[in-house]
Amino acid sequence: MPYGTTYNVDTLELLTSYEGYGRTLVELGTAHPEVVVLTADLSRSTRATDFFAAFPERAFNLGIAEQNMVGCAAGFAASGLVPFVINIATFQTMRSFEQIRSDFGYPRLKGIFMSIWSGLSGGYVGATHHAIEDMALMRLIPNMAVLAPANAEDTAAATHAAYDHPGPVYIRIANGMDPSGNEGNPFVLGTMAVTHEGSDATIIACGSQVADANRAARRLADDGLAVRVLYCHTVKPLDTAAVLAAARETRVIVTVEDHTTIGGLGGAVAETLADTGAATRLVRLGVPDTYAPIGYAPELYAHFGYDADGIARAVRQATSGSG
Amino acid sequence: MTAPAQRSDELIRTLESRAREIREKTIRLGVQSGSTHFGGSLSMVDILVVLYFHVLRIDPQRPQWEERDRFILSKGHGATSYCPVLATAGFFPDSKMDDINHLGSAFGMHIDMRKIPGVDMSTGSLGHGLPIAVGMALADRVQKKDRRVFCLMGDAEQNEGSIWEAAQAAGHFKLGRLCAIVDRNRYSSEGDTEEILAIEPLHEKYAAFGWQVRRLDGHSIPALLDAFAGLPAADGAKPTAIIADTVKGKGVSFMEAGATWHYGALSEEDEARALADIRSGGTTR
Repeated sequence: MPYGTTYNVDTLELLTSYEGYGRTLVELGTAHPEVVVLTADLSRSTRATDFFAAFPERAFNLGIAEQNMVGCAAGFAASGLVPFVINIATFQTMRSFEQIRSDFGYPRLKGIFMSIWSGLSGGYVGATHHAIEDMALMRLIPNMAVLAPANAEDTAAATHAAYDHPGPVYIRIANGMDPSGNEGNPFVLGTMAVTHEGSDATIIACGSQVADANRAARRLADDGLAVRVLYCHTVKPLDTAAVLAAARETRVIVTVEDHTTIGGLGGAVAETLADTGAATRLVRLGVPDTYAPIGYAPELYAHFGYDADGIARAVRQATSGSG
Repeated sequence: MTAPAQRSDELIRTLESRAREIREKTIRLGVQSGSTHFGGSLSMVDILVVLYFHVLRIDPQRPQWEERDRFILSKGHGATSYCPVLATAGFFPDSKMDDINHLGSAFGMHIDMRKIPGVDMSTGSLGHGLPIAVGMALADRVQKKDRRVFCLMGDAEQNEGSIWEAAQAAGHFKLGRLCAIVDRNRYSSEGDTEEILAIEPLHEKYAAFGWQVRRLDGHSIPALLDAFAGLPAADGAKPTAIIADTVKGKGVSFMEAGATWHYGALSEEDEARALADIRSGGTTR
């Protein structure tokens, strides 16, 4: 299932993003007795097993009953505990959407919703398990922060940042094991990180697409195009200053997300540009308004044109004026 | 057993008088609101009165007191009697509700835990309360507290699947300090629950999910006192469901008639009749 080049980061060598946060949950559980973990019969699939083994009295498998699970999480949160709710992204954000919205968003209760199989990362799992709407749905909820870290290291960092954040947080977990290009810098919720400098065009990417965006930028540099890459690990609240700077300083903005092009990162950037009247050309890469076919994740990314080749192609077209 | 003290005639008289007071305040607040859910607000008054004026371990001076028992009004549309109960219990003055429904008011059709002192959870959407109550009961276990958790639900709300997810969990986790109460007033917005989507046999359903179940007259103060005095269950391993048979619009003759009075507005004349009915205590039942 995991793909991409293997990658060493200090203590998270060769780890998938799942394992990255699994370890982080144990760290948080050790430091904070109020941390509880809830899953809907997915502790093994989501690598929450370490927490379950370490803190059985604070770990709850609530069965395949997602609405009850999120309601329970709200009960925990209202009692002063900090629930981490771990599920597959589609079920997390759709089956229990109203509980997240009304029981967490509205009363601004603190809870962290961690979702695996974001976007098409599940590959051949098929459309019922492809989460191409999760960021759009979570963005809709007032008080909710939406994070899309690139790899294990940043998933761990995002989990810590979510714990420190006062309201509810959604973290979509991708399969990426590649460097983001932001190694060594702090993970600051609400900001974008520049992972490649340039002034001809800007690519704004989230999740494991950041690595492909960086690859595309390096290839385009060989063609003489200087492309800025912004790693947008926080889709909400969006770093609008970074978007507007890109609009001023570069001719084209290309957004890349493993998500429908409606309402997620591309949607957020489009709203920002429209709200301010910025006239920069915008290309949104991702899943068009359709259900994805079966395939391995990298094949699907190529199919929809948001692997490294597809991103480079889109930037070339847009900057040449033929896009 | 504290049963004799629980049921002293004086206590019963005091609570019955409180119930009349709350029903009067419900009518007044409902009139001030323009229109509201009178029927379901009035049907649950006696349950609320017994809980808030005798059973719950609460301190209105410290609404966030950690050791307090928790109460979740899953039928959040019952705010028209619930908010007067909180005010009368001392969480805030009655006058705080004067601006109900107006821009920026803490009070509207449903309840907000961030704005109304004493509200343990914001509710309004049906089917949300019991899962939250289950989470609170599990939290008590994690935090090693001896708090009790009460959740008052509507009867037609029993159609919601999330309630049965929570009922499964409460039975499975043996949440003996959880008590769910169903305000069985028989009618939803559009008619008889058994004609729309039958919920009975409710007793057997909760029992099958691992609950201890009691069915009682939800307007009988002594019966309610007895039921709550028996909590948690003797072995402490089963959650308790109390199915409280009630009358929609209880206390107001023209609302009780036909028991279909769900939502609406009262004319000045209707308001006077309703208040007279409540004060006389004479109703059809």
